[in-house]
Amino acid sequence: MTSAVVRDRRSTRPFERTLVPGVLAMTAISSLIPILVDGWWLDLGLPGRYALAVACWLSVLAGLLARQRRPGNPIGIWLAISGLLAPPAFLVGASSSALIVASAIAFVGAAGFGAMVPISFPAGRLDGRAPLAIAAVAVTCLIYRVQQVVLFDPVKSLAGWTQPNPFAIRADPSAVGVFEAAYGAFGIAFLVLFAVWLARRWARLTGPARLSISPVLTGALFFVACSLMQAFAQAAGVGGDAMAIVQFVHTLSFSAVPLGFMAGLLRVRMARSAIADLVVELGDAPEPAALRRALGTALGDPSLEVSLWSREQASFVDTDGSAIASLDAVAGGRAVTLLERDGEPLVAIIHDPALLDDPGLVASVAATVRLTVENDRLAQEVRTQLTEVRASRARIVEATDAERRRLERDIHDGAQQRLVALSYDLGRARSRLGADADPELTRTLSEASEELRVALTELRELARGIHPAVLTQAGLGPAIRALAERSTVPTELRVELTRRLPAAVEATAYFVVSEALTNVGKHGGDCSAQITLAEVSDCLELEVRDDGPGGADPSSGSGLRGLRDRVEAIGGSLELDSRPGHGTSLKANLPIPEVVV
Amino acid sequence: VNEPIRVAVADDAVLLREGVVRILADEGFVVIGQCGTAEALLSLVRESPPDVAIVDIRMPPSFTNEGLVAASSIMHEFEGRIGVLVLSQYVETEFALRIVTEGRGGVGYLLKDRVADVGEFADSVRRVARGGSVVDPEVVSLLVNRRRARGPLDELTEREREVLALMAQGRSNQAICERLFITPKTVEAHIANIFSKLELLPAADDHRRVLAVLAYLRR
Repeated sequence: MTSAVVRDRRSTRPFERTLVPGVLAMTAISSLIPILVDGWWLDLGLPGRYALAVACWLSVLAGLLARQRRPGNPIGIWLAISGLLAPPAFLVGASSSALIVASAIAFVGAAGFGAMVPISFPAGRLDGRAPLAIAAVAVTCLIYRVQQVVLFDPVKSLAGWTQPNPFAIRADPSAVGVFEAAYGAFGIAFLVLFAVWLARRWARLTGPARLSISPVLTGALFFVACSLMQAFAQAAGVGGDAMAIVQFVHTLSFSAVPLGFMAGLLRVRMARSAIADLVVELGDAPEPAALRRALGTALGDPSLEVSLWSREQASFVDTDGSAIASLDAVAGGRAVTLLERDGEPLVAIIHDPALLDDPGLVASVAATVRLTVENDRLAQEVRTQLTEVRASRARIVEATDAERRRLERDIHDGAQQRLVALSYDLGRARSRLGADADPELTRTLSEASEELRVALTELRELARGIHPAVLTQAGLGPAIRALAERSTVPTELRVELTRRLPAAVEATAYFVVSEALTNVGKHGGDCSAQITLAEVSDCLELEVRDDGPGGADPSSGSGLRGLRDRVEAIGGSLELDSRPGHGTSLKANLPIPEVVV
Repeated sequence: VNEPIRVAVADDAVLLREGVVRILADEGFVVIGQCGTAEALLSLVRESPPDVAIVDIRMPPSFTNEGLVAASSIMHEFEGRIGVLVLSQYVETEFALRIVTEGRGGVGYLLKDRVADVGEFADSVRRVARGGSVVDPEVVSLLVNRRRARGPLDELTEREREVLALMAQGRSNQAICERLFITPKTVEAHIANIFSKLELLPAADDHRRVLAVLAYLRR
């Protein structure tokens, strides 16, 4: 199984931007040679020389593009070098011996580096038999060049060869014939093998890799086919215009690999934008199944699978949400690409290993998937936290209510009872005092009784403020009525309740009305209040309205804030309307939960 | 005065129950039994029917309104032959009105504190035993003094308001005379004025009078 972990960075190696002007200048010089310099080119006609210049430029530009996209991959350098060396490689007929030697070296270099491109594409690695194949190309070219240099007779040979050949060992046409034949046989055999290898590779391409690799392989195949054609033509002794055309087409085919490379880039770019579009289409909460379909379609890999990481289960889960024990078992020979965030797994994509040949594509998919999945996860986290906070707020309010009830009961059963019992004892004592009793004692007992009565009244009010017993005993209606009876302003009641409500709703409604009436009372003056309470479709709607001066500031005071917290804790809403001169209205809407029996 | 009044007392708070029992004994009542739950009270009353059952409103098991339910059962079962006096540690007009409205024969609703005023409490028990109605003065005071928009109540004189409050407490004309040091004729005149100002029909008996006045005040 092949696996790759894609992190946020795409490559550690920067693109050699500073070298670009130098490379372009060298390309300009190199490509101008075949156009400006006449007479050094053996049988290469003017159209062929132009084709050579074009191939030079295309190779260098494709090389620069490759380098920019994948700074860690050497293919760009090889492409550029083979392009730069192509024109000098044909300077066979130069007048200077040094130039002839240089041209021979350039020829070997151009062919060797050029061959490395399709052989190592797209990873840029020379594994297995690849170096052997390149060595074969270089040796073949070397043999060809050596025979040209050492055996050609300037007088007898091809057009344009005007200078005496200083390297000539023996200007023997028959020896030329032997070498040409040997070269032709070896070259043709090699080219056929190369063509077969390229064609098989092309046939085995699957899924996403097709996009970028197939144009390069096609270009290489075209080049090899043209080379074969030229070799056969030469072996068959074709001459004249026909040979010139063959030569020209062969020169043109130098551009096939760089053109294929650029076509591949374009196709990948289009595929990538298709992926981005698809993932965007999925929205910010992709279902694993939908994500899987979208990625599979965009990458041309129907077998692609997506597994999301589940924090709760500490494992990858399949589309049904059940844990996956081993990704390797699921992958079964396919590649697994893990996306991580902060060292924590996020998503595993199980896909065709060929996808890994284009790390750029993987990175692009990774970025989009990471974004959507992470978004979804964050949204999920926020929702979970919100639910937790709401539940805990409701629990706090419930606990507070329970505590208030307990406190009231403690007072009722404790201090209040003891004081009432004490008042009974005092009452009995007073009733036993005869008319002739000590007046001082009578007065003292009477004062004590009065003090005790006041204390009991205060304690009763305190307990009522903590939790009104009538709310538990008789429900919201009577409790609100009790509030209205004790209100300091005339208060009208409209209560439409036919049943007891859950304790939390009753208590919240009670405290809202209580607080509102207290605020109305603060206005003083001639104002009155109206309390409306009604159950409307699973909601308790209540309003306390007064005809006071209005203009209450909703942000001032902790009373309203506290009320709002209470109301929201049980999922309700509170609304204050208090424009100056229009009285004040406090509305609360409290959902009534289904009582679980 | 001739026959001692028989009383049953129900309150889960032993301290208070025994206090009430002692006071009742002091005042010449016969306490036929005491208990701590509504159920025990019902069986006690069925076994030996007293003249008055004194019930705490808040008793086990739920400590809400068991006493009220028991009082209601007794009133229905004995069709008013047993007076019921409900005691509470809080004043609620809601409960006072419920008890008086449901009452047949003697009914009463008093704050527990009232027991300490031994003479007044004994009088209340006697009134309930005689079939009268007793409403805690604080209930009446809450209703009378409640802030309300201007209405017929504002037309009453100070003295008429006092008479109204005493009527609402369930006092007889005679008792009102004694309280306010006025003659029965003056009391009758006040009552006639009150009923006409409030546009109430004269009531047939004291109990209906209490009901009518309370209902009016609670509007």
